[in-house]
Amino acid sequence: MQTDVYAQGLASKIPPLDLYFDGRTTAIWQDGNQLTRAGLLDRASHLAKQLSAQGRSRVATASNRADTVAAAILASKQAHCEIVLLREMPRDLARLEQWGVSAQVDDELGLQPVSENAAAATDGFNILITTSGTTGEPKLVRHRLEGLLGRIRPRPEDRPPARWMLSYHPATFAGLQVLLTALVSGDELIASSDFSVKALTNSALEFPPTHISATPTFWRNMLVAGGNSLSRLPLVQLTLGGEVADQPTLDRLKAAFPTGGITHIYATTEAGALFAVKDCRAGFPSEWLNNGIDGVRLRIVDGVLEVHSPRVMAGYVESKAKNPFTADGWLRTGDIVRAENDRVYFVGRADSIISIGGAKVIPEEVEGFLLEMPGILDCRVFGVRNVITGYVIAADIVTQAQDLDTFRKSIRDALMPRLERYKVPRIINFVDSLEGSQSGKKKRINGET
Amino acid sequence: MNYAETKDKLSEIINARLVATGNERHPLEDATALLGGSLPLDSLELAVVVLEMTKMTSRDPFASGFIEFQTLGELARLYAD
Repeated sequence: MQTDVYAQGLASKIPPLDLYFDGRTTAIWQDGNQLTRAGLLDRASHLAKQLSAQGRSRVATASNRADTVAAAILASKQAHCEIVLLREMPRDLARLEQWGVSAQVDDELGLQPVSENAAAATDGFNILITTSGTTGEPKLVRHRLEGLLGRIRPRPEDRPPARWMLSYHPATFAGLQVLLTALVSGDELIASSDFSVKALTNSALEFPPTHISATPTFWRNMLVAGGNSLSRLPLVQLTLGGEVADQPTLDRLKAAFPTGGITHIYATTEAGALFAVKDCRAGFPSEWLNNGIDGVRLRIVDGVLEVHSPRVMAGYVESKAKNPFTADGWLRTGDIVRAENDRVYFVGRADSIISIGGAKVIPEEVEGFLLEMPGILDCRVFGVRNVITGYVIAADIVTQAQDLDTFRKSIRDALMPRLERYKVPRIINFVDSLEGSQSGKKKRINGET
Repeated sequence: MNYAETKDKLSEIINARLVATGNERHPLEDATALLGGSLPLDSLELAVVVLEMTKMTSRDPFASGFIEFQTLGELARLYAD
């Protein structure tokens, strides 16, 4: 585990969370309703008094509302309490007790007792979020505020407030970063408790944002859902995170928003915010492996990226959780990368590998080839379990092509010369859209038809 | 589905896969070897054929593990009533 010395150094350059709370400006447009900074602070103070009066040391919220989550964070900070941000309440509330959560904050900022037996040993205010749990039980990760704010810079005085659109659930790491950025920078946040692409696209057209941070999957869906009307958006900054930013998606965004800056962020729930790539190219410069970037050191071990960062999590809450740190204190990210000339490319997740008769297929790699094909708007590659080969590769494809049989054949013809045969999708389903998860990421499926 | 109907369905699925993968339709007999013979079907395409048969018949003869088969007739028999 790393020390927080570097993080504490960074913290001295970070503005306090309430720097811009002058009370007059809008903090959040939640589902079309305006909440001023003064209003947000009032709500937070009211909740903080209850937290202190009841002696709570760790509470949770599973609200979809950014205004509720923002108030709960500020209140917990005031009350020196830990706040657990969840995307949904566990089906078994005993899980909350195991996590040491004694009460939950509801949508209206009411405090509902969960268990008076829950005991949490805390050292004051921290923010706890869960991993996505795509490969097993979600784990609870503790972050200190200094680490979370480590890559956020205060807004220069001559820049007017930006208006961010929150496309992520506020309890995801990426959503929390957008929320904290807006709070710290004195920017406005557009938030919807409905995270569907349709609802968020409509919300963007009604309250045009200057900044949007979203997954590549979300951006591709938004381009389909918004069509030409998106050109009305006054976007100055487009950020991609949460998934591999592939070159075709970066190119499509550049074509759709030629004047906007395009950045892809590399961050994980455990590693925190690591770095941002701003040259509109997939991957990151190889020289960062030697020189580091933004205080982060990088190395590749057995094809997997390992990082050493001042913004890394403080640790898992449960002591039983498998330690992801190496003996020398680096964090194994689970992201498979490939170094090629001056660039390091993200290939996929080590835990999403599909085994076909012993050969390994990384779905993201196949998706990258598919997205290069004209006519493919989005796709998801997955394995279908079978008795003959273990798995066979399948793809759900979003397209506007009319003659689907011909298109299916052209996909196969295009991929066969470029990929090993076992990597070529043998089952191709044409779908209207891809179901996303609450984190905005492509929902990974395996062993299903 | 009786054996004859199952075999016809299986033949239909195999030929559809052959055409989809740029091959000609192929005459299919009970004794046609599914892999390793003259049929231009690789193991991954055979896997898709098995998945399609399972979906169509709502029957999974391999649910408890692999059962050996080599010919079209042997596979059809696994799915027939």
